[in-house]
Amino acid sequence: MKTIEKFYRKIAEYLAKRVKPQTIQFTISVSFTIVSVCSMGILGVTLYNRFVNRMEDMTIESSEQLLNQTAINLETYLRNMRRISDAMYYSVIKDKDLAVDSVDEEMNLLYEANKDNLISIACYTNDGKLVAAAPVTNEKDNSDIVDQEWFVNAVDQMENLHFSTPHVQNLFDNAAYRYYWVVSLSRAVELTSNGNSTLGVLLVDMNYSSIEQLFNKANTDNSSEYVYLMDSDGEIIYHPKQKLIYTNLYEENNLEAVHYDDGSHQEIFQGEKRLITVKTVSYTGWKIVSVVPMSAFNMGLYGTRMFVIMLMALSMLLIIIINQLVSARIAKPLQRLNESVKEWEAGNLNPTIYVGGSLEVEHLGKTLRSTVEQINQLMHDILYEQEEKRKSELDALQSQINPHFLYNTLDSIVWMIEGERYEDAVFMITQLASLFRISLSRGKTIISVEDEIKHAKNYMNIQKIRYKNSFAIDFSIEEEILHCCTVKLVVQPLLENAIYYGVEGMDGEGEIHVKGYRKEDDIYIEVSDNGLGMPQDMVEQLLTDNNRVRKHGSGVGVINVHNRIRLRFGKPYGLEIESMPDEGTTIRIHLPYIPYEPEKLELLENGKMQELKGGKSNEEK
Amino acid sequence: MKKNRIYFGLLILALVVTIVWTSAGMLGVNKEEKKYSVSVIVNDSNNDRWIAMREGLEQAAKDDDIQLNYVSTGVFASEDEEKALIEREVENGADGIIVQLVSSEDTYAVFEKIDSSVAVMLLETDAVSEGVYSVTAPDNLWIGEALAQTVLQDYGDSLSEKKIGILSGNQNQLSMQQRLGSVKKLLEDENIEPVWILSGQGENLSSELVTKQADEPVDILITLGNAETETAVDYLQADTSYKRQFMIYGEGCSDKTVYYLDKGIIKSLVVPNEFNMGYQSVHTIAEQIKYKFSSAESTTVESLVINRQNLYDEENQKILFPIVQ
Repeated sequence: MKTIEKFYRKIAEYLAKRVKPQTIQFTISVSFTIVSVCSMGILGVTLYNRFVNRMEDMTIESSEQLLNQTAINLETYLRNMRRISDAMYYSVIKDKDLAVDSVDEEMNLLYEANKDNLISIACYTNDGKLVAAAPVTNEKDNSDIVDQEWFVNAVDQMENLHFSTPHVQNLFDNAAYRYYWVVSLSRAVELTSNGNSTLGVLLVDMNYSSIEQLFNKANTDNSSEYVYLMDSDGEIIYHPKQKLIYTNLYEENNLEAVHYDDGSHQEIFQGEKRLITVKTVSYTGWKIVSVVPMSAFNMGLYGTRMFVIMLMALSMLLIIIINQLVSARIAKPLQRLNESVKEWEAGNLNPTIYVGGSLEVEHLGKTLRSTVEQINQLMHDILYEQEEKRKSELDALQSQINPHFLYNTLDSIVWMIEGERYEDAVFMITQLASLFRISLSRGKTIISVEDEIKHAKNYMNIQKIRYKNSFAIDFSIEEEILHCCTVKLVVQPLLENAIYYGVEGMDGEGEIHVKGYRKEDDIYIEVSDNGLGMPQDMVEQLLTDNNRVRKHGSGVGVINVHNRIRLRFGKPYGLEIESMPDEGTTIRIHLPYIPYEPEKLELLENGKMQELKGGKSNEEK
Repeated sequence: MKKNRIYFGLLILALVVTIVWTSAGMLGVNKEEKKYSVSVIVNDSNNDRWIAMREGLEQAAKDDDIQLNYVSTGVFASEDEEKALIEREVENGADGIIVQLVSSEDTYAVFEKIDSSVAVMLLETDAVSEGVYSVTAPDNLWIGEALAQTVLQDYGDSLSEKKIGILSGNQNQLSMQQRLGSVKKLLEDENIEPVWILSGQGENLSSELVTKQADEPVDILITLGNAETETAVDYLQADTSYKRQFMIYGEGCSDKTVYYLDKGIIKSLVVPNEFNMGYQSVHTIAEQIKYKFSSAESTTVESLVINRQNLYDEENQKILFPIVQ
């Protein structure tokens, strides 16, 4: 058991290693095809073999039948000959005293009655003298009767009738130059002459043509199948190619076949496989042999073989086509489902999930569809939560600004009151109040550019008083961008920086320019000073290093502004800084162009910049 | 995937090819092969001497599936007559011609109008320009030798006292020339000169024989062909004196010659295996037609020397006597 398991495991491992995963359709159609082709092949070969066996049996049967029929005909013929001989002997010769009576009349009568099958009937004394013969003709002068085979056989074995092999009759003179091939039936007879009985030989010469005709009938078939006749020694009596055999142009396996028993045999003769059926003729011991060359057999089967192969090929073709259709029907829904999954994988969050096909696949499709929906919902929820988190972070950042600034300004006001500059203090407080109003903006994060600039102006008014107009400031803002959205409190920290790091201590030579303009779908607000400027590495640090310690101001650096813009509007926006030492600094606020409208405001407030953008691009489309 | 598709396509293609092939094969089964036709032209076609050969011709035609056209002819007066017959047969669509040439000279003229695609087989005698055409013939030199040899054996030293005449038949035929040549050569070797040699055929020969025999009677007559042997036999049969004037040693194959051998009129008979000659000629020409061989192929058939004693020998009767009567 264990070894079998091991074997199975080995096969499985081998297959896993060798056979790469294929599509369902391929697997189904290939396995179906292999199975059906194999079974068709086995079926075809089996049926063909059965057919061949049946044909072989039938051929054997029919050749045996032919053989039996021929044997019956031959036996009847030979029996008739024997009867002639018997009649001649027992009814005529035995009854007559040859010295007194003549047998000529009876002999002639018998001859006439059987003329078709006979050449002659003759009776000889034991020294070869002719007693009587029919038909009456001249005896040849040079034929040694006693030496002829039929005579010798009859005298040697007196109790038997003897059938000779075919030979040319050498007894009578025929002035028409005719020579007859005969088969001699000879027997020893008792001749009575003057009451004395002497030995004689009775000869019935059968016309060989009769035997030949009998066999020609069996050999009329055009196929290479044939029947031949031989005597018990294998000497050929009749063969369809007898003359060819006599002249050595053809060979027959008669000397082998004479040893075969009655029935069917297979032999290989001259490299050819043949089916031999043998039948022994009673009394004479002659053998009739039927020969069926296997090649003839195969020739006959050629058409059948072609037909079987064609049938097999046709059904294989059909089965393969049906397999293709069935496998496609099974695999198509799965493939389409797979396509949907691939679309989903490629990044389409709302793929059209295929639902259809068989029940199982339909169920899979439905489940996948609801899963996709659930995942989308979950992702939405996560996004929302992140927005919430961002908002709270923003709020925290904003609240970071307020205490610093308040502290600084209140410090200035205290300083003014202490210096009894009440008007200035009142102006300052007014400005501060406006500043805070905008700062608060009823808790909103997004305000209009107009408010933002106003806020910046308030701030600068406060600072100008604090710094006793030691620097100049001008605002040039395009009308167009005033009604756009911006994150609040982004300009003020930059102005603060410009004052502290740029123009502070320049004694009236310091200049700060605030410029606002639109460029395509973006708006820019630039704060530039002509102050000290800074080196490039410091510029780079400004927007990246969150932990930098500041010497002045609210303590909240440009990085705060940069982060807030990016958190609200996305990565492409924020601050850009250009600065050269001793030449001044320009900080550019980059914002998207979003008109200040209530619905957009709401989306922005909720941190749904994505949706706003999507809506925008859709509108554009 | 692409590979799989290719394999699949190949499989389908293989199946379709198989179907087409098998249907073609099935259709081809019942189609009969073209039966080639071969015409046989021999001198005096209904003469008994051709019986055995015809048997051979017919047997081979059956075995090789050839349509045999045995042209009925009389005695050819000239080669033009034969030429006309050959041309007529080819016109009638014969794929092959088996012909016994009347004259071995100038065969080019006989076949000048015959297309090279028609196979030609010469029977019994080759053309003078040997090796040009296929030939099925007995060894004619051997026949002459055998005849002379038999005479020499039968008479031994007493031969020098005997007079020999020869009926040399149609000396336009190479076969007859060869037979005569070898007879003469063997006799010359023994310093024997034939008293006379008669050539020609038919009535002329008979009357010439009568005259010659009257003028210069011979004791031994060597006849080189079947017709000559029969002429000699007829001469003896017609002789009312029943005095055997000469012994016949001849070539022959007709029942008549065999009968007179049996009767003792002919002393010895050289018999070519005519059945074999007929069979081989058709068989060879059939192969040449079917397989388009163009080289000349020559087949030699054996001959037997028969006398009254061995006539009924088992082997001899098988060859001498036609089975179909």
